[in-house]
Amino acid sequence: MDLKEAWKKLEQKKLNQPIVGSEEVYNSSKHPIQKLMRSFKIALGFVVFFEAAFAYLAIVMPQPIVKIAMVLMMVVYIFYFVTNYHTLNHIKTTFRMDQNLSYTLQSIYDNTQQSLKFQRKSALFIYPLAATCGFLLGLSIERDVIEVLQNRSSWIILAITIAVLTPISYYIAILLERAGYGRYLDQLRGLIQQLNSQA
Amino acid sequence: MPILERAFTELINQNRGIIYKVIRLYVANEEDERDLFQEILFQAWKSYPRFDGRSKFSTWLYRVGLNTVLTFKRRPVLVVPHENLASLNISQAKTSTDESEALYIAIRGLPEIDRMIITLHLDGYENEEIADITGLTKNNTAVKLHRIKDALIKKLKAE
Repeated sequence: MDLKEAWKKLEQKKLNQPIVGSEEVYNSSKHPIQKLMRSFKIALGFVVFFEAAFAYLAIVMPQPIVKIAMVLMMVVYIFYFVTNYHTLNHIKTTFRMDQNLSYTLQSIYDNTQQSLKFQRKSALFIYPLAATCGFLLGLSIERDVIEVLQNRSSWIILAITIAVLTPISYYIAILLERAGYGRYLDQLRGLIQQLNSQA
Repeated sequence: MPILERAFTELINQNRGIIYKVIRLYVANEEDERDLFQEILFQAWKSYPRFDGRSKFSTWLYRVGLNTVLTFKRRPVLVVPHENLASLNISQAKTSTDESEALYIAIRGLPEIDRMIITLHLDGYENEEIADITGLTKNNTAVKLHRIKDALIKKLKAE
C-alpha cells in the first residue's frame, strides 16, 4: 500500500469534511490552564474585596491600634495580590499553543506550584498576624483595647487564639487551594508525564 | 469586524481543513469534535497577535491544533484500542477506499505523539518542520518516523 496515496484518499473522504454544528466563537475555552487562570482571577477578586473591607474598617474603627492592625492586614493582602497577579501574568504570557508544548506546560506547572508553595509558607507567618488583628478588632467593638491588653489574661487568650486559629486556617487554606487549583494542576502534571513518556 | 479579526478569519477559512483533520485523528465523538473545534479556534485567536509569519500560517495552525488537542480534556475511550484493530478487517482492504480506511484505523491506533508525527509526514512536512512543531529533536523525529512507518506498514500488510 502506498501510504501517501491512501492518505490523500483519506483526507478527501473523511479528514477534511466539515464538523457539523461547530460554532465559530473566539472567546470560550474549557482548557485546564484557562480554568487555572480563572481560579487566579477569582482569588484576585477576593483579595480586592478584603482589601476594600480592611480599608473601610481602618477608616471607621475609632481606636488607633485597630487602625494600625487593619493597615497591616492591607499590606498583607497587597502581598497576596502581587504574588497572585505575578503568577497569573506568568501563565498568561507563557500559555501559548504555538510554542513547545512540553516546555510551556512544565513552566506553568513549576511556576504555579512554586507560587502556591511560597504562599503556603508565608501564610504560617501571616495567620498569627491575622488572628491578632481579628482579636483586636473583636475587642475594640465594646472595650478599649489598650486597657484590656494591660491584663495578663488577655495575652493568654490571644496566644490561645493564635495557637488554635493558625493550624485551622492553614488546613482550610490547603483545602481551598486543592479545590481551586488542585485538579487543574493534577491534569497538567498528567499531561506533562504523558508527553514526556511518549517523547 | 476589526482588521486583525478579518485577517484571522480569512486565514482560518483557507486552512480550516487542518483543524478538521487534527480533530478527526484524535477525537471520536461529535460533542468532543465541536468542543475541540471551538477550543482550537480560541487558542489560535489568542496566539494570533504573536504570529510573526516566520513559518507558514498552515504550519503554525497545525502546531496550535495539535498542541490543543493533546492538552484538551477529552471524554474517555476515544482512541481505537490496538486489540480491536484486527476485528476491523484491515487485512481485507481491497479497494483504495478500504486502504484509506485501514490507514485511518491504523493511525488512530498509534500513541498520540506518534500519530502527530506520521500525520505531519504524510501531509508533506519535512523532518525539520515536524521537529519544530512537535518540540522533538530532528534526530529523534527521524528515528521515530522510521519506526512508526515500519510499524504502520507491518500492521497494514500483516493481518
